[in-house]
Amino acid sequence: MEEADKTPLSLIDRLKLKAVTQKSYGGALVEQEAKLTVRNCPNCGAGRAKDEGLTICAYCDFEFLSVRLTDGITIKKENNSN
Amino acid sequence: MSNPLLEPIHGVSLFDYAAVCAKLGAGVAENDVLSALGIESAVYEEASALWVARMQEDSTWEVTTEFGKCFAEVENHPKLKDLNAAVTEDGLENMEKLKTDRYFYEELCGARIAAYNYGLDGAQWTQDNFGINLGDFQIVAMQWAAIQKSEVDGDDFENVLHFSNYQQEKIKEYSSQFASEQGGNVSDDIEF
Amino acid sequence: MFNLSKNVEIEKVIDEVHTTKDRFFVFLQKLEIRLKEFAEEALPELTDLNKNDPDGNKLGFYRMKSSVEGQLDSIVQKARDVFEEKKNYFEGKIEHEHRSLYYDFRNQCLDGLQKLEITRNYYKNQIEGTDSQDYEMVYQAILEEYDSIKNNFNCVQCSSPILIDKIYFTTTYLSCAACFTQNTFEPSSQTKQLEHVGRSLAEQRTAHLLQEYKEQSKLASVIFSKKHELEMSLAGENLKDVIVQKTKIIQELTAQNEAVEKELPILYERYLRTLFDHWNAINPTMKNEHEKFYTRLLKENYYI
Repeated sequence: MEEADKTPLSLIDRLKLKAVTQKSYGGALVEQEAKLTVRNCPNCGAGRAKDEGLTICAYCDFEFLSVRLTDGITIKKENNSN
Repeated sequence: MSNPLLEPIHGVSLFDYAAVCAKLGAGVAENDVLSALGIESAVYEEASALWVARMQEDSTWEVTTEFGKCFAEVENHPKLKDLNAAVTEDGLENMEKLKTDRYFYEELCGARIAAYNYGLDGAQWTQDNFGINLGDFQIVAMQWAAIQKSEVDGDDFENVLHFSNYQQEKIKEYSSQFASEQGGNVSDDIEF
Repeated sequence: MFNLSKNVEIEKVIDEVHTTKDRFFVFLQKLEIRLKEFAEEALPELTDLNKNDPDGNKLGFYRMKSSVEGQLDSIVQKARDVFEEKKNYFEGKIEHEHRSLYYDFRNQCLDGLQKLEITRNYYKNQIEGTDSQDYEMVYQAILEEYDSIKNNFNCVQCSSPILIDKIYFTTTYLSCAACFTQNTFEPSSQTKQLEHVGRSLAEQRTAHLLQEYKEQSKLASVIFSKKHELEMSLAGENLKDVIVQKTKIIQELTAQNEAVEKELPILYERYLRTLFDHWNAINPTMKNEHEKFYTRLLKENYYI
């Protein structure tokens, strides 16, 4: 009887060990903190200004975004460069 | 495009969105995928949240169904088709086999089911043992699912049953392998 | 002589059937004891791992849960394999005129097997219960994080302060009031989960309303079944008094059923509206999208 009690116990320990020590697909979850960055124009070095829209560099016409923005969550149609 | 729910969001079409999901699942870096589409993460994250919302809103399930079809068609996406994560030579060979050999596909499905039942990460197990990543596996699974559906629709139940039985056999086979790797099953000492 | 030897043969088979059945039940009993012991040992371990999994997505917990469930299934499978083997053996061995012997064996063993499956299912439900997430805490962590970081950012271009004016759950562009540069604000990983957390938390907060709706729904079907049963019984009824009595009860049940059915859409709408109000309050930037989802669900009348 003692032997029967022992078998499941040790198996559970093994299952737990296997569960927590194996590699997860895509690697462990890395918690990222909030951050603020800017993307300057890689062509002429100018910054992106709000009034000039998000899609095209106001100075050299470099395309930051090659799509037409629609009305999304916080990004809106008005954010397309003219 | 008659259904307004299928209109692109910030220029990101449903095909783009499904292809991004497939490529990210296949291990391609997000920056590479988004650059190829000419967008930034701010645009993608909004598009992604809104595509999910469109699926929720859509009572016809058309968005979800189309998403599945697009996902299986990623190899034809004009901007993303050539983006691939590093794959080993064995992985490439297995991937080719997975696409063409139904038995091999059913075997890996069975193996993955058995792996999960034995507390193994099936996606990682397939990657480690066959060099096939989750995204690529899911794309091929969508393609086989279409074939399975056509078999069911065409009343070809003999074939459906044949492969279903084959998968069951493989589940048993891999279950025995995983059981012995973990030192047996909980009731091995109880005999009839 | 022939009949005598045949009778001896049958006696032998009957004996074998009974012995096999007895052994099978002893076997099932041992398996059931093991199943219970194993599951009882696993439950606190799973509860512990659910709380303390070092993996942020609780993948360790999910893998262990999956393997424990797999082991419970392996116990049932073991019993089923033996059952199938013995059933097939006797199916081929017992001749047509003694078929009831085979059917009794099969049905009784199957009942025993089903009992084991019920125990397995009971423990699977218990195991499912160890997968708990307190979304209230997750949401609080997001709120606290927002409070602690909202004034911490400066324009990357000119260093002027940039206020994070609300909780953003997707990366977005924030303009510097001083130099007008578009800064890109990327929320933390936990805040990016706000939309999903919001839905789960709203579901947790309104679980009691869903329960009320489900109970009312169940009540409606119980009343309907009773009414249906009585209506069917009327078909073969000849006694006038009984017919009058049953008809009266049917009328009462019909009235009850109508009252309960009338309440159902009201309860469902109350549940759904409250759920979406919570979700909207948690992530107001998605309110428009939530409302479209709400409209769909209300129209289709099924719960999420």
